[in-house]
Amino acid sequence: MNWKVLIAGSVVTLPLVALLAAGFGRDPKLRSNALEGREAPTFALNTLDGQPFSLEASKGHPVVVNFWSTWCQPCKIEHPILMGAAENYGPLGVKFVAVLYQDEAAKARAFLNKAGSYWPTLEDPGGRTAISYGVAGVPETFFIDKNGVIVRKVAGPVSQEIMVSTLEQML
Amino acid sequence: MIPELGRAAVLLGLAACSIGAVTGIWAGKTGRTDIWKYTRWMAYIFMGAISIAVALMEYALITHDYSVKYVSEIGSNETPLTFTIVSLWSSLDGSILLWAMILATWAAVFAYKMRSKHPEHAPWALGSILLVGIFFTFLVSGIANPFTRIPEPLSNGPGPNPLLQNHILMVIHPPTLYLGYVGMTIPFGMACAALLSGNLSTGWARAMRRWMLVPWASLTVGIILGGWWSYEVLGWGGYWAWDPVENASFLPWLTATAFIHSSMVMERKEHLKGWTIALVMSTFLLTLLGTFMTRSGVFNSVHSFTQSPIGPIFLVFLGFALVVSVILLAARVDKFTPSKHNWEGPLSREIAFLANNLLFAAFTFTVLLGTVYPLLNEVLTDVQISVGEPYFNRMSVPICLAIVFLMGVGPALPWGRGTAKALISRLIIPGSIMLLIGAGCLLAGLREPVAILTFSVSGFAGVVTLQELFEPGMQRAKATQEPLLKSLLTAWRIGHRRAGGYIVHFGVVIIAVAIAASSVYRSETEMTIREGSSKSFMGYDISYVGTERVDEPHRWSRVARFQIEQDGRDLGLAEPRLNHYKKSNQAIGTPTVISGLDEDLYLSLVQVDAEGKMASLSIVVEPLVWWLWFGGGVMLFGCIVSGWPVRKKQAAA
Amino acid sequence: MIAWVLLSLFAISSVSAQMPAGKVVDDMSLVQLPDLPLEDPPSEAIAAERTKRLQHALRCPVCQGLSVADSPADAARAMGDRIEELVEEGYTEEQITEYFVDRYGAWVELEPPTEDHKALFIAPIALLLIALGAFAVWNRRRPTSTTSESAIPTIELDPDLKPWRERILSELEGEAS
Repeated sequence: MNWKVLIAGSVVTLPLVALLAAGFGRDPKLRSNALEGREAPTFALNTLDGQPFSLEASKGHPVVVNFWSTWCQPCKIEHPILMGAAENYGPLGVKFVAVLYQDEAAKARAFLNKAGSYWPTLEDPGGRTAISYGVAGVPETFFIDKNGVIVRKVAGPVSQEIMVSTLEQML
Repeated sequence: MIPELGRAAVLLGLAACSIGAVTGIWAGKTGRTDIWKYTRWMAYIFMGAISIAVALMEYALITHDYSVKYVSEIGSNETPLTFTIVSLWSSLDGSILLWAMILATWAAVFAYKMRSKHPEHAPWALGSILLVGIFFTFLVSGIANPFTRIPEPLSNGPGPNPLLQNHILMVIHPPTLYLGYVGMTIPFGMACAALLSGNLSTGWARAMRRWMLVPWASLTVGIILGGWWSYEVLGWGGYWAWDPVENASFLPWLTATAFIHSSMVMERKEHLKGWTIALVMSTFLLTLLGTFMTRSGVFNSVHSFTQSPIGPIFLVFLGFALVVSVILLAARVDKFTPSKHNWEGPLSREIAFLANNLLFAAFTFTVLLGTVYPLLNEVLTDVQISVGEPYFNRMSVPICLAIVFLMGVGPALPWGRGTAKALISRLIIPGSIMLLIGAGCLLAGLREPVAILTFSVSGFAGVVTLQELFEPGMQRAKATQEPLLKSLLTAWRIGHRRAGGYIVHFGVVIIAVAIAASSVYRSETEMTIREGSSKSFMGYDISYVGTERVDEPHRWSRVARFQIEQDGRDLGLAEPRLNHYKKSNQAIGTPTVISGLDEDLYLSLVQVDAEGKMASLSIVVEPLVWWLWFGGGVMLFGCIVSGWPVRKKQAAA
Repeated sequence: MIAWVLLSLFAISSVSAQMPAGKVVDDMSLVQLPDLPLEDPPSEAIAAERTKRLQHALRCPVCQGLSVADSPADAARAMGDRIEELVEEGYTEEQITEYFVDRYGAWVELEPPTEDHKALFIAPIALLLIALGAFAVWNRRRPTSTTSESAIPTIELDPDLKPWRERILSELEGEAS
């Protein structure tokens, strides 16, 4: 047995196997929750109907900001959950607002006319607001508390459980 | 019927493979020729059975038999026939089946070629190869069984990933890559045989080198075709992005290239035996690692198939193969007879090869480190980071420059001991040309150090390579008074192995220049053109003619037509398109490339407005890209020249 | 409605425990851009160069390992435009990089900051040096049996050529006979 070869070989290979084993089962998808715990970036945009909307104006209320588009299937799955939450928590002072991501206003209007909505949907020219929120795909939902701090970011459709628990915590 | 028949064929293959692995090792241990014969038969049956399974799968794909699980996952009635046929390798389970078939074919060809040669080693080698075969066949027969019967089949399927049915290169790139990737199992088996028998004879070392050459050539071509595919399909005008899976194919190529060089030292001077064997083993293990990266979902990549249950099994197999290899190497490497030769002075061919191997090892380590570093960082600190193109470029440029420079110095050095004086006298012409090119670049106004260095160092290596290619024939012409051309051809025929090697080197020089020019002097812009009007960029006049919608069963496309002129010369019509597939939200573009010897014009369609009046284009002008593919062809040609079987007619002198 | 309330209660009890309640980073204000750029708006040429550098150094958030400059995706185009705007407004490269890292996370830089990840850059070089050193030591320790081979004369011609030269001569003889 050549011990030098054995040791050298082990030094090279064993850490590699250990690393792969440790990395196993990890979701390789990139997370972008860097904004959690930070002050929400402000924005002032127009709704699909041309009305101005600014985040500043909602200060003092919990706000749910949802980025979505009509070409995204999970967004459509998420829609009824948002509707239910807006119906139940809107009266308690939670503001809901949606930001259209990489999509055309006409398509969004058509979808919302069919599916309904209890909140303003904003156009985001140049995707600036999406970028300032670090959106890396839709849907993404940001929960902003009364002080304007992002308490939670959910990438992908928000489940009923998470929606409710987060809202309860923010109230 | 297909699901059951396919499964049966795979199980037959598994049985033959398992028996063959046992008898191969038995025959190696006892030296019994009858058992060795059975082993070869098992390899043939293995190949036959898996080929039948592949044929059945193709039949199921073509006839849209959705009762077969794999067809139900990947087939669709609308997909064109060509892409239906190649969808065998566009998803996980099918690609493992293809893998098993290529491995079985390699094993059978090896068995046939070795039927009356190397009795001391061949049984061990085939046994080891079949041992690897058991694992892949086991996957196909169990966890990754593509033949599982779907009880209530649907009448249509989702079709393959749109990106993988967009270009004809998809037909040849993956099989070529696989041929190389899987073929690395053969030299690995042969290395195991050398260790197990404790004897690395010159004949066996030579055979190992030959069996490495074909997979190496396939891997080279496969990698270049992959780059070409990215270039023609992905729409950003690049051919290499240091994606984890690209790296996974590059890593074994690096160690295999190192092996091809170190094996020459081994043949000549009997040095580096253990190191050379270690390189062969690493090459195979890196192919396993690369496959794990593609298949397990641990790494995020364009090429990753979705997460699958084979990950853990694969990791266990990878770990097993690594541990066995290290122990085998450590236990047996001292059995090899040590070299009688010394390492001579620093100015010798063997030292040049050694430097080459150090550089390739460092390159391998760098690429591996960069690839796994984000995972390492995340496991240790839970922070996700990227290690991408800037890192790899920064690290690989100096290494590549050193390698190309060495390609110029190495051939000028003699085996044994050389003198500085002889070296200088041989390098005076190429060296002057190197300086001239550098000065010429500066005079021509080039200011980018990377480009200037690459051009001049490549010129240096290129001149040395040409000298090495033509000198033998010229010397012969002088000695024999033959016409020069005849002498050259004869010299190349006699020294074909050597000439082939230098042709490969010349291909590398071409590629080095092409990469440097196309990446450093790339210009890009984006423009929107109104219908009937034109805009210009870098001497090209691009006028927007109009747009059209094209409907096909599996997709519809927006085709925009542009008339291209360069300095008044008509270059024809460019028709970049945006394809909308049924199952995909984002449009996938097909760029148009107008290739020239000097530069490529690369057009991809970004957007066409609703009325078709305005078209937005992304335009890239890249010099010398065509030479990259041409250099790949030169490398392949060199491999063919070098490996061409030459009948040895003069038996007795 | 009853189901909703029940679900809500269940969800609150199960999830609220995991939520870090008051996790607030000290420098919250960083997320907004600094009020004033540190420099005056740069000239057009400098701005173009900076934009290009940043677009190549930052990663497209929806692609796999492609830079903003290389990616044809819509999201990358939007990000590329935003980079250009910020450069033209006069923000420095550090500020802009920080702006994106704050939002997306450290992975948005295609190459991690050198000072935090020295090993990535030093390890390959160190390995090369160690290998060189190891070879030097190993070679020195080897018994130097001076064989006749070390006295090979200097070459005018590559010794590789010798065998074929001899073969050519023998072939010539064959042709003559």
